[in-house]
Amino acid sequence: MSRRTLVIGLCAAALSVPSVAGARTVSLPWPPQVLPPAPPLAPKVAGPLAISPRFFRRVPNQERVVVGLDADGTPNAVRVQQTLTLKRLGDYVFAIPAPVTTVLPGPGTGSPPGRRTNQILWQGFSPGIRKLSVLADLRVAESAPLLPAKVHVERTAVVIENVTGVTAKSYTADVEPVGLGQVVERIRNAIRRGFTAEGLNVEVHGKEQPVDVRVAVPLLVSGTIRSGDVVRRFKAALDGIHRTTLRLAGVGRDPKISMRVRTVDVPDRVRATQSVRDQLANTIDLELAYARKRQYDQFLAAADPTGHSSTTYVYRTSPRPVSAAPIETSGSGGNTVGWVALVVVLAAALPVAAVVWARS
Amino acid sequence: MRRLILVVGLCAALAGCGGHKDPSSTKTKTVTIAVNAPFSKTPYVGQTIADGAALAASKAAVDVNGVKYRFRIKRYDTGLSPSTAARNVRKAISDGAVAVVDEGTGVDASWQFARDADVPLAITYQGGEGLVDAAKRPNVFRIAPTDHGMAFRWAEYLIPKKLKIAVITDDSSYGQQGAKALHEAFSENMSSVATKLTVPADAPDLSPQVLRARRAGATALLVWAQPTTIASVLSAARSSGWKVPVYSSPTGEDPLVRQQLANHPDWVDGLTFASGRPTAEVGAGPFLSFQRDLENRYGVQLVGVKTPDGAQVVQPPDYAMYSYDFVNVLAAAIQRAGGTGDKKKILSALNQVTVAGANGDQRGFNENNHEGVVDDDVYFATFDGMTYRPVKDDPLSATLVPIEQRR
Repeated sequence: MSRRTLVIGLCAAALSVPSVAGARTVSLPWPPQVLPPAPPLAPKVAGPLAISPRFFRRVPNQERVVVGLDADGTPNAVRVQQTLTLKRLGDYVFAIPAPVTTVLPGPGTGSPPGRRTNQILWQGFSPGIRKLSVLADLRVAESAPLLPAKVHVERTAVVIENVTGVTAKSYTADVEPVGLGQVVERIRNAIRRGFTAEGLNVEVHGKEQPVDVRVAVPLLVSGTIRSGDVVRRFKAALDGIHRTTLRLAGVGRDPKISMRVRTVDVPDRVRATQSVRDQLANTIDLELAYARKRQYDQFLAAADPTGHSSTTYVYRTSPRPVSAAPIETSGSGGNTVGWVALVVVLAAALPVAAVVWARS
Repeated sequence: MRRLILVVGLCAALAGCGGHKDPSSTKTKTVTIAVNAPFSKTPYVGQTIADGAALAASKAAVDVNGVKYRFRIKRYDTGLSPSTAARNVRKAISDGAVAVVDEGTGVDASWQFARDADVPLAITYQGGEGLVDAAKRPNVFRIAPTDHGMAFRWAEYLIPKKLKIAVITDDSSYGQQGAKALHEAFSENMSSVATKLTVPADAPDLSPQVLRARRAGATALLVWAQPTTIASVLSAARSSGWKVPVYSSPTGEDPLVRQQLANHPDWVDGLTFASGRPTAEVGAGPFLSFQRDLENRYGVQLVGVKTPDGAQVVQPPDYAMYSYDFVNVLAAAIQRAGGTGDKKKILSALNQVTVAGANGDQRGFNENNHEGVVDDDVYFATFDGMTYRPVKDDPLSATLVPIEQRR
């Protein structure tokens, strides 16, 4: 009898969850859908070669992006040193898409990088651990617009601007709080481990109301501005939302800037004491800001986009690189037009000339 | 008036020429790939290069804008003579070859003829350092292990063994290229080298030189030489009772070494050579399939010796896979270039395409590097009972499966 009671009780309990059963599972706004796709840089490539899944989560990515600046702060050169460390035994063949102009072996690389149109190519065998390092010069027009900070040199001031901010489509809704709590923990865990956050689904009751949110990467900018013998140091956090610019007034003429920019931890404003709607909004903020941060932590795509990445940006006033005079193309295209015109003229003129000659 | 009739007639004839069938409009186009190799002097090398290229040519299918490209192989014998090899390349170009697959002899002269005609030249045997340079020789490619890669792999493998190595090279150009590469590789660990000896390539007896190595305190011999020299070194060492470990260049796997020592099979045991790996991580499947196709078409390549239990020994077609892979890369480049009309486009496309190689590896070149075999892909194998298997004390070699060599 007691068993029967238990079964009836369980059935009743199951039937008493209609509100949960009426809920829908939806994911938090998915970064690839609601954030701009770049960075990482993604020029068009002919044959993408992705790394074998065996290396997933075992390829830490470190980058140092050195940006040359004109006197007015316009980028004139972008060079990246990317270091990948393969942490498994086995073959590797993969390509990193990048708008490269030159590709050189980086310090301590275990094998030399190859170059194809818009690709850095890696191929070899990892005996258990293998460091791959490359120095790549990038086409400025395609890479500079994706840098996290811009520098403007005005008459007596230097302005540094965090340009990582974007508006993303999001939503607000009534969500099931326990599930939301688990999602927050997943995001926090991913942040702690430096991986992409996954499995971010919540139970939603009723309809979601669309809202726009502002997403930006907090940056720490630090460096010096030298003007003559005067050196001025600066250091500031630009969160990209409440504070986007740093204005350094009173600098002398012809300032020489040397600045480091790196991403810093995204703010976690989720608190258990908040309303569920506020918790959801702050969770989405945390998720998207972290995803955006990961984008800037991979200026060049990492071999394993979900794994650990970090990038330091260095900006320096420096002379515009002297580019070699463009080699005159053998110009089959240009010459072809000339040859075609010549043939047309000859085709018309020769019979006429021949007839004139024949009648003379 | 007669002049007018003549002119009208000529115009009509010229107009008729315009109606001649445009070759590009044909549905099938056959293009020639030249194989320039020492068929008469080292038949194994020449034959294996030609067979690999011919197998790929028979299977390659390129279809561009409704035109099907077929490939045929034309052989040119270098006789291991650089001047003949260079002459052959000129001849091949005048014969309309779209590419040259080359053993490597004479490339220092012949590459320029090929460059002037925008013809790619692919080395599939010799690994000499100066032969390939993507910047200076943009039309020269290679799918074969480089001397540089093998020498550094030897250093990486042997130095931790704390051996005193006698480096023996012969005076052939192959041996001298190897001597240069080994010198670079061991230059920072000269304490590992007991002595360096250059021996004549055609010497029937190398006992005095091997004795010198022994007296220099050598505890290992590293021989980079023609197959006959390797056989002579083994013969001199073993006949004197010296059981020193012998390591060699890829020529150690040449059937000629085993043929020369057929009466003393135990003298071959323990010989360890370096070469490009015949199998990739995916296992032996792709290579065995390639080997089967090659044997079905051209027959089994018997070494001419037997295992201790009486089985015939066959030579795995490891070098054939390089010429096979190049022809496939070339076909992919022609596809990408939109046909054979613009040879510059084909040269450029060769830097951009990747194909699955005969051993399951990815094969291709790039703008920085025209080497199709990366240095990491050098492995070591040791003979036992006239067949060889990858060594177990090297991380890459230990991952490879042995190839069956008994029939």
